[in-house]
Amino acid sequence: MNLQEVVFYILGALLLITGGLVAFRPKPIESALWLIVNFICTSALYVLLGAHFVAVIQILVYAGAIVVLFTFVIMLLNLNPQELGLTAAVPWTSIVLISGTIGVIFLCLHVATPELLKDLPALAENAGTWGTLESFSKVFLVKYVWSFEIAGVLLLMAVLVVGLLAHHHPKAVTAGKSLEKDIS
Amino acid sequence: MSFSIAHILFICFGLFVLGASGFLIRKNAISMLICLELMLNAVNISLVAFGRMHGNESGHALYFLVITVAACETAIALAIILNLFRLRRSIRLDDATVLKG
Amino acid sequence: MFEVLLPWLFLLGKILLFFGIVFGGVAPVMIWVERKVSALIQDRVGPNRVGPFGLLQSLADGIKLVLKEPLEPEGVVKPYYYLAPILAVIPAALSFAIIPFGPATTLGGLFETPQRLQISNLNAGVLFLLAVSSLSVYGVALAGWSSNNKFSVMGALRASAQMISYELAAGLAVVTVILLSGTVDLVSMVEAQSSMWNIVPGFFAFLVFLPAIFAETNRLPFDLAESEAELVVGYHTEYSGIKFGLFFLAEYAIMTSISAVCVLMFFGGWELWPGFSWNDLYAALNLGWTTEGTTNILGTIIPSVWFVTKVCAFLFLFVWVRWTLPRFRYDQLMSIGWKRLLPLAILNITITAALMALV
Repeated sequence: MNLQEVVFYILGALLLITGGLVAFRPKPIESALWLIVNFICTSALYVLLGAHFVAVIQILVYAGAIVVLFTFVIMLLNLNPQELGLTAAVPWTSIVLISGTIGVIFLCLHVATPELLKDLPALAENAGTWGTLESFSKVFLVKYVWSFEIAGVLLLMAVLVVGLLAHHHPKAVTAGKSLEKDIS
Repeated sequence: MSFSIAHILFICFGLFVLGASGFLIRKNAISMLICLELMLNAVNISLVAFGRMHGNESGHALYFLVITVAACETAIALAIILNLFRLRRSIRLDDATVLKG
Repeated sequence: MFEVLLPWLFLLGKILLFFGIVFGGVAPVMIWVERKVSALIQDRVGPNRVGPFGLLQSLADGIKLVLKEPLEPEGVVKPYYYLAPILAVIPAALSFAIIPFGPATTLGGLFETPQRLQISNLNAGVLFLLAVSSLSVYGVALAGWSSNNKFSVMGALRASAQMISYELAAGLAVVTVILLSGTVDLVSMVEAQSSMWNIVPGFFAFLVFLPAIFAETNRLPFDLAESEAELVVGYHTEYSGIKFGLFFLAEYAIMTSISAVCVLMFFGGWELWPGFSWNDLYAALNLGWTTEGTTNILGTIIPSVWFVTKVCAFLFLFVWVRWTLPRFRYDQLMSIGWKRLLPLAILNITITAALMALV
């Protein structure tokens, strides 16, 4: 039981606990805050795996921009609690049954294909360079350059679409009509 | 490392199930989006872990694409929700069943 | 036994020293500097009662803040109300994890290879600072939202929108510096500036970065979110006593770390002068020292002190600009961030990359 295993089990437990808290808290602001904790634990898991650049990007983009957007919208809308509740009580029985079944299938598959149970390789061949910014960019910008460009175009399209959608069109008000509405 | 890919996949699987069940029981659009992010996060963890298993960085490239798609979809969905709120004063998706307006 | 413990002791020493200096030294001194410099600029005297030249004023302020009655306004959402100052301090403290305070040193021969004066040598380097400063939005947002106060919510929304808008411009300026230095790692960036500081080729990047960091730290001329005249101090209206003290501390700490990064990226860190390094100076004075401090530890300490001096110059710039320039209106602020700084930053990256490819 070395240090890496201990850290891994703690992180795994934290991920699952915070995931449950995200999914089952009634108020969206609490879900968003526990989601931040979940993303930070995910980032720690990436560091444990050795993917340092991805860990920092996880915090920068996911925890630092996407969840900020959620927090903004929740703060702006500022709804009262009656509108925000869950549909029903948390269906613990069905969750346990479904995940138990799929988990058993999962474990059977793993026993049948034992190479999945091997320990993760120790990065001997490219020791110290897997997951770094240099080796990632060599793969991403050379081999997957089309994906990179398409991602850029996708982001540009998203910016345009959101600008169009969120643009508030003020309705033209004629004096007579509004007075009528105020009186009646 | 003394843990295997199966351990990490178990975590991903757990997160995905939690996200999916949270998504199914919510009636509030923003909370559904948050559970969707949880599911995407689970998939991201599995991508990076598989990349580590094979020793190349292709998992990271797909991770970037997933993050890009998640960011775009979150932004657009939140813009739609804000418009919905402007029209109907409510973000419960049960109230958004009529196409009129 | 001592050899096994030595790296851990060194790490502990670095953590204690850096955090001690920043949270115990810089914040009180900055409060005094702010009040004295503002007094000088406004042609008055400033605090001069509490100690010689009012030097103990910060201590008195600290004691006052701690001993104040911990007010809890009615109707605040208690978990977030108490969480927000903590969420503000955490990114400010985390940002010091990657800042190197001096050249790599052997501490007078204690280590065989030179060890960095950096708490942790992350692979992602400067990107960690960008990530951590994007987390600092949450303290502001939660503080405003949890206070049961319309002005606080408005201030929080404005401050969050401002911070995330200027993060973009700051990030793109950092990308330009990464292009110029060829590395993300801060120590390598300083070593790459030994012949010419990045301010010369990266002048426009600096012009983009400077307003961006003023806006990131919510300092004038971008402090509409906490402006006294308009928003009743904005998002920390309902905070008094040590909770307000924590926000204050977080603001000064993040100012310090961002100034340090600005010096490291643009002004050569601890380099003496472009083209004339400390080793050259030591050789010219026939001292036999090196910046690694093998013969004499002063060889490492003097560059570190020079670095701290440069950071202090930047902190003075922060204070000077605060008391000189008027405040931007919110729509002016957002239009500067999106319509002027962002296109300028993108143009800068394009031109820098093109010139680097051609030359």
